Amino acid sequence: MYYLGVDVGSVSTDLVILDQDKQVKEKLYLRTKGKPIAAIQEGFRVLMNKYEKAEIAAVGTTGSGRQIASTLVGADAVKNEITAHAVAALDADDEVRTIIEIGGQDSKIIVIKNGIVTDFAMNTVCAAGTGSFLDRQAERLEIPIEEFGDYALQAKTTVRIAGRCAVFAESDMIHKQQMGYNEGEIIRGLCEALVRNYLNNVGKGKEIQSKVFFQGGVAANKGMKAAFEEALGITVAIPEHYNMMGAIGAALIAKDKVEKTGSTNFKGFDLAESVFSANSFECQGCSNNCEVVKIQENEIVIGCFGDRCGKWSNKLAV
Amino acid sequence: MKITFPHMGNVHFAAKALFEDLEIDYVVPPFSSKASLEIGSFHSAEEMCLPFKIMIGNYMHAIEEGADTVIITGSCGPCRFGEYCELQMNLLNKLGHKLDFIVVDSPGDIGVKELFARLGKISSSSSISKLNKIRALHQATKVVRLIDGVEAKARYLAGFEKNKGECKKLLNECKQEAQNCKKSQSMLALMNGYMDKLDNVALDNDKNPIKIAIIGEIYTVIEPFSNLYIEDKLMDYGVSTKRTLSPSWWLKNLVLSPTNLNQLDLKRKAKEYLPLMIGGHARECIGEAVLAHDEGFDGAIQIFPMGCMPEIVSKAILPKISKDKDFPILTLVVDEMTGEAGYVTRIEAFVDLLERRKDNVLSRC
Amino acid sequence: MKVGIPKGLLYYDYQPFFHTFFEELGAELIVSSDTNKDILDKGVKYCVDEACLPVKVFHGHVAEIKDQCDLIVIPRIMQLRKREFICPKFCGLPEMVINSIPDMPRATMAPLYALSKERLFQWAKVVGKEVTHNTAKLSKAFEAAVECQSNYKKGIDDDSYPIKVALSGHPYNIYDNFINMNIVNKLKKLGVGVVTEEVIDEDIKNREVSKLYKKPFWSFARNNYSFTSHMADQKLVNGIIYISSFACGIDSVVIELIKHNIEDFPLLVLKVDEHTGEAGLDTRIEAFVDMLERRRS
Repeated sequence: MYYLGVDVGSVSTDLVILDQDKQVKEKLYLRTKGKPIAAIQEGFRVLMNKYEKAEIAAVGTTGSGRQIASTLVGADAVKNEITAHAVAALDADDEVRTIIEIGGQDSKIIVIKNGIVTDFAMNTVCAAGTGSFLDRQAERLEIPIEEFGDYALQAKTTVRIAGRCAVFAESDMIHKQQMGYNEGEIIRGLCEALVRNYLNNVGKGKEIQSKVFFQGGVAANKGMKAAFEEALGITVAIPEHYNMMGAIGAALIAKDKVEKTGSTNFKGFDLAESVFSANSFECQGCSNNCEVVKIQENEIVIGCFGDRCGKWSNKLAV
Repeated sequence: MKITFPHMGNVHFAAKALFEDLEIDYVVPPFSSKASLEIGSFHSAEEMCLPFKIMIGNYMHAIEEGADTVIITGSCGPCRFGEYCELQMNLLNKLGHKLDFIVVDSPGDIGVKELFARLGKISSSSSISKLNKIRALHQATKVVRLIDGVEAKARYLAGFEKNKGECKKLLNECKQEAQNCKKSQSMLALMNGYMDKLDNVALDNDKNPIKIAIIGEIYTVIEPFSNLYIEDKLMDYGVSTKRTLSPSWWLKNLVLSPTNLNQLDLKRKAKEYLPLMIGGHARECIGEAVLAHDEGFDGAIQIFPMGCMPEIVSKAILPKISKDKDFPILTLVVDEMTGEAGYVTRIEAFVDLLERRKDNVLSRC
Repeated sequence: MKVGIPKGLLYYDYQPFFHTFFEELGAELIVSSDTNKDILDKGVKYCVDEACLPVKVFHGHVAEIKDQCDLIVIPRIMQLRKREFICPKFCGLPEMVINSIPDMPRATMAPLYALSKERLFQWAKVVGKEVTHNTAKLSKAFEAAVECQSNYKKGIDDDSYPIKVALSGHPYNIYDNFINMNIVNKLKKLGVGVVTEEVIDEDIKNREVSKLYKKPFWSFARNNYSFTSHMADQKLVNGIIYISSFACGIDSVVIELIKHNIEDFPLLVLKVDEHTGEAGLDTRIEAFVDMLERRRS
């Protein structure tokens, strides 16, 4: 039996299949590109050739698109990404106390005591320091994002870059380039600025204790890892499946749920071939005028959300 | 004269009852929505706080429906709310709307004579007898007390109900139907009816739901649109919520404050952490957090608009309370940029956190 | 006893009072350095994120000296005039600081109402007891401090330049040269003289604010509104520069009131926060001065 986890984020959609021993059998990393349904279908098209519907014992969804994903696949558990990340990290190592997670457009800190999440925070105002921002800077400097970290590690010195706001950080980098700093120094400065920014905002007032996990797509960047270690003065561990932790967590939570309920709601891989459409309309039922999103599969309505009163969705979002 | 007013939670029920009893023409602006916020943000200075912007949207919508007079309460600092009236007057004037503002300020700042002169403007356009006017005012306060009571009961019982969604349904129905009532009497009868219905909701007394106190800046906690309907969301999750600040609380506080007998409980609770009134409701926020802990709540959620001066002070203090008392507190800052996805994630994760603390299980089923 | 005085917020207005008072009481003063990068970094590190730059800077000053002193003076300035306030963050300043910075020494928590000498003395009595129990000494120190403060003249009124601007804003933004990146000198180099709010009389202020529908209930609002209104109305300057902290609640109101009042009179609002780049600030000032010169000729 296998467990499927789906993490629909703003930048990427991740699918993971765990086996009976909670080991990762399969992982797929797909770009969401603003079309979560298409991304899930794309993933299912790959999976349907390898797995049977009956082999999937449970399915869980997470990420900002967890509702829509749940409607599509028939999820057993729909969980927010904070809990999903924590569950996955604890499963990988039950001694983890702090999780630093930096994804495409979100960054989070999760504090764990005795195996329970006791505190957390997310970035509020700005996406500076998240994956999308680093991608953009790599593009601007014409350095492949995979090599970004190496550049930072090679730099002997560093340069101070103002990092709170993406726009200002970028103009500050341009300014420093004009002053003659080399790319390595600037990238290292950028990593340090982002780490400083993260600790001052998301991490403010949080007790960061060992063991620290660094996960999310940005964990691939060695420069960021080094900058965190320098700022914190402790080693930072990167779990093996650092960029799949949300999906793994969702699969684990679903596994747990199905062990209690006994059966799965999974709809099968066929949806890869279905025609989906998502339409939104303004409900005129009352003066709230909620914007309701309606998902149709082969012209049959499979789910609605966005209404406050439950008239359309009638399904609780927990 | 066609009177209007900005939305603030259940205030519109009291206003409707009052103006109908007084037989004065009035407009209830369409409920605050994305449209009101968009209009408001477009016309307001960027760093103005969220309530200001939503209110501007309310006025503009009301103007479309023929309103020519705005009534708002004032305050004399030290929070920005007290300056709203002048800025809003200037702003609407510049947009070419000739609106009359009736600002109900404290007599200590504008004098008793001026206060009566301002109130007289409303009173004189009503043709009913003086006695009936006083009665109308009394009825309106009853309305707001009652609807706040219905709401508080529904929100609290939501954690205990046997049939999921029943309390929310009753609350929504009550509010919906009250909008169609005429005059205070029928409104009170309706609300009393719903109060009884709530008393008869089937409860599961074995349930031990998560209990969360909603604290923070008054406008953003009582005007549901501004906090992205957080209390409705928590009802869906089967959480019991309590919120001290409400229009009727505000009224009672206002009446009692000259005697200094207002909010003795909250003041006492806040004393250790914030002994002085610093503006807005920062001291109440601190007091409520301590009180919620003492009353056995599982956690508290603080909400305030970006840049809110008094609540920034409470935000600095809350982590200490949280640590001292081992009491989780989540802070949510709202403005026109607040994205619903991240906001909901935080609320859900907070509820998860509280649940896991409570029974140390992996996931809720 | 070592008493720490952080060089932030209204220190710029009331330094003679605080210095004299504690010196006369026999305390050893530990005054923080002028604001610098390190102080700013510390402030940003400890202070709640949503606070404005000057409050963060204040936290940084406290953090710099806290380990060297037995008592830190955190003036909880509630009111300077009747029916007027400062800012909610001033009223809750001690709580903000002690709950944000770890391992704090004792801090002064008493509220300070400078409405009259008597009210101010109440603050001095409570705080003074931390240093001495000698009441005669305390009264003497208080008298000396008040005396010293009343002789303190501050404010800029520079007449020796062809162009003059009214520099408006909260005193800590105008007088902290790190926060404002030395704006007065920058202006001087461009041939621009500066005049500040302290030069106009109380009755002018009263007259100006009476034009408003509602009497402002913040002292900062009263000062800056009346100052800019008077300067623009009487054409005593060529333009107005308002230095404002990013996300300052009071300024978000005051600047709107000023704009509404002075209409087309040249006004430059400079927003400062911990990320303000000097290059951008220079560009804005230069462009504004260019504009003033062109208007004049």
